[in-house]
Amino acid sequence: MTGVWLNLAAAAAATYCWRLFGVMASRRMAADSPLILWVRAVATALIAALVMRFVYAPSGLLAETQLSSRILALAAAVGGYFVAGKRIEAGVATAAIVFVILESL
Amino acid sequence: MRPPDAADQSSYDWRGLPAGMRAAASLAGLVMAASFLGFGALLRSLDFDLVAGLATVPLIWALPGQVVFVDSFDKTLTMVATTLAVSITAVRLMPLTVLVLAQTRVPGAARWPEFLAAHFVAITLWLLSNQKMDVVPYRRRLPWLIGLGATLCASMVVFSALGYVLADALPVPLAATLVFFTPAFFLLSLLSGLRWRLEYAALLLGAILGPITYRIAPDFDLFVAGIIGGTAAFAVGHMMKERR
Repeated sequence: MTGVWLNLAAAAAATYCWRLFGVMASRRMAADSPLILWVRAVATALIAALVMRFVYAPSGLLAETQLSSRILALAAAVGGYFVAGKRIEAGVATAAIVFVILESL
Repeated sequence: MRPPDAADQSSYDWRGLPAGMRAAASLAGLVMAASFLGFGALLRSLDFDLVAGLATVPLIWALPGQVVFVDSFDKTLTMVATTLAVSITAVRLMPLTVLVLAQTRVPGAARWPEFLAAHFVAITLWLLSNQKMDVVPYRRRLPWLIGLGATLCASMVVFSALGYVLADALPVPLAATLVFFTPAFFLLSLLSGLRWRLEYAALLLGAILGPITYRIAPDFDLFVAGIIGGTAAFAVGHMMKERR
């Protein structure tokens, strides 16, 4: 079982490296600079792509569910969010209800 | 408020720490708990060593990286391959760290809390800082982040263990719904945190480019979609501002 711990130490260090680069980069940027605005845009696009990956190429348990349920539930999340007056919890709850109903059919 | 003096203004105000710990009890915390229940269930399904699996929570502290780690180790990939795969999923932590820390800078204050806070940076922490940190006084922000991150991290060890135990008891549709909380929450948090029109463009472009880049380069898809989509949105927003 020593193998797993050595691997884990390497993986943890590799992960923290990127956070460390972030600390160093943030020291050169002002909070309202165009550079920060660009970084925000990149991060937003990246997370949007990650959300889509849960829908079109999921792993683990979600891979056993229907693509149509995932698409409809995500649409329901956005719908519920706006209908309830931009409330995140309403959107998430709507998505969960739609998803569990579609998957139980 | 105490009267301001020079020493006071250039240090952190650690009363932010307990406030951050309390902020962990949130919708974001609940959604995160659902995801980590799912992670615990994954450990169980792979028959992964429980202690090592739980240790990935505070040591890696980024769910995609943790999933890739246990999955790669289970497939007995070499240490180099495993580390590389985890590292690729962690690239997105760099912009998030920049954005979170840019909101907390206290000129002249000690730097070590930044290195600690950076360890807790993950998508959920960024989203929460977008939503809740505006009202936290500047000098309390970094302690607030550390309190929030440490509390979430400790709680998620418990939820992962719970998921490991519950794995065999939950029916599949219900367990899958727990996992689906994560993308739904990420998307809505993004929507609610958008401040500029160019960010809406970035969200749309990222969502459109994601499936395309996944076809072309499945290991770097998020990174490529983020750089291309974000840069395009930024460039268009910048040009429209210039024209005005």
